Amino acid sequence: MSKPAQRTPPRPELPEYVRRLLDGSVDAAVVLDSDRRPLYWNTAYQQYTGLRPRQLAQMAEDERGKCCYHLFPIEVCESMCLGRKAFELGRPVRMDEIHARRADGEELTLIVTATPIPGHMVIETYRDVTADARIQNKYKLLLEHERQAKELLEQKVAERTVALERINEELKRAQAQLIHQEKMSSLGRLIAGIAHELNNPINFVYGNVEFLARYFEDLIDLVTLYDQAPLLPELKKRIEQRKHEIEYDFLRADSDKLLRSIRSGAERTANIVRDLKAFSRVGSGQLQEFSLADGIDTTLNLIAPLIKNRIQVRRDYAPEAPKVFCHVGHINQVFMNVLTNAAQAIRGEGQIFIQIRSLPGERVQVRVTDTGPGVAGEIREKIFDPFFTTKEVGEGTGLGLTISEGIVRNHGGRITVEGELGQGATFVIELPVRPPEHVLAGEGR
Amino acid sequence: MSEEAKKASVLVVDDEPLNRDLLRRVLTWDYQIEEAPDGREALALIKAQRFEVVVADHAMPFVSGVELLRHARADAPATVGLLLTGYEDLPEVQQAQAEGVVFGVIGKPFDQHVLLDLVRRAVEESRQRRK
Repeated sequence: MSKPAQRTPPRPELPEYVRRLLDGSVDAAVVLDSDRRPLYWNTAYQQYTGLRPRQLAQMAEDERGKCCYHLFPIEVCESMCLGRKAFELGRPVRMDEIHARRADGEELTLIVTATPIPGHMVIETYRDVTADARIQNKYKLLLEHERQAKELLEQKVAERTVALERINEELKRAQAQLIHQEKMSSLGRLIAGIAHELNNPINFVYGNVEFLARYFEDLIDLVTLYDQAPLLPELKKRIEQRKHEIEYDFLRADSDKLLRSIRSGAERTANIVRDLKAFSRVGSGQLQEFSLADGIDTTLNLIAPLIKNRIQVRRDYAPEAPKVFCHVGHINQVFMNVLTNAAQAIRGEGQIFIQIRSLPGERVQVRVTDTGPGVAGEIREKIFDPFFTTKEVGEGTGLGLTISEGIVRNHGGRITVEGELGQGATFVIELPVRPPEHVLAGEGR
Repeated sequence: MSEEAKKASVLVVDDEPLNRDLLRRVLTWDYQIEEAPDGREALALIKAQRFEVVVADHAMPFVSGVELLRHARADAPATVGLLLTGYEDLPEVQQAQAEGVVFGVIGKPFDQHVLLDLVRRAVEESRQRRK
């Protein structure tokens, strides 16, 4: 018997089927005795440790041979030697995700198991899950990326939604404006037609009522003369009787009233026709360079009776405000409408404040503020609609602001109203110094 | 009868008879009135007799008021043209005014005093031209 054989205690008998089991295993496996000396190992284990069978056999002879030192840093091996734990506990133990370095320097992630078997032996297996761990890490990374991408997407979607909502709002506004413009333009054509057709009839009603009144007056004069004539009593009696039948005194007084009302009706209709014409005639004729300040002042002179001794007019005209190319008559009409409205809005005493400013982009702004009751929100939307009026019947046609809006729009400008109910109204008229040619080229009816 | 004392002749041209009636009513007190329902008849009249003033509606069939006054100006330079129109600021109206073909424009519906005043001045202009 050889010496080493004597020194070493008898080696426990490893059953054949265990060897076969280990030989067939994909995992690295080693059978250790209670002193942690390798008794048997498979090919995979050899590959892991990088030890040749002879070295391993030598280790088996070596008392201090602790095979796992080849796989793990010694402190790891000591603290978690699974083989010992398995011996102590008398049952299999397992640890996942053990980091180790293979003999060739490759970093590994292992699942390590230790299973005690009869004969004071323990089978340790090492499963290489490095690839799995890598995949898992990659998977985690991918998940993280996905989460971030999702977050980014959601953020983008939110941003886009806001942008789209804003675009949608703008679109709606533009559409409303377009519909409004189209409405105004077709309304303009309709009104032009109506005005044209009304022109002649109202002309002769308006003109002839004067003659009718004059003729009637002459006839009454004649009757009065006859009354003074010395007539035969019988005839006089018949005349008196007829006068009674027709209620002559009433007829005479009422005819005056009738003529007055016809004349007033004709005048009002003539005014409406004039307004309708102005509304539908926007955009023809010649452009002239015009000082808006002059226009305002001229208009204020014209409506002096409305303002005198009642309303204080304060002017704040920027001297640098440029002249504007426009249809002077039409722009004056806008001033007339807006200033008349301001004056009529003020019951009793008050103030009209007129401001003229030069705006960037070659535009001029006129602000007319009154100390009247102001414009309620629901009215503000309708204020430029045709035939909309808050004035008494006969006081306004409800076309003044509609016409003004048409005129200003046709000049490439805009007119808006500001101010809450109870705070006075401000009409803001904005005009470009040079109106767009295409707008003015058309007849604008 | 002297030239001044004699009633001036005014030709009223309008396709709307009720408007012609009204014009006649307004002017007949001061002037000798002739009527024509359209530009063609009016031109025939202008060639046949002397008028101080022609008051023509603008929107008429066949010949527009401005065209009529343009012909009248060529045929009878001393005849002064007045145009009746609902649309005073039509480009052709403004151009005719600038050329002197149209002496004055009366907007419809018209005010009688405005019309009378304009016809009076037109007659003066005609007499001025004839001198």
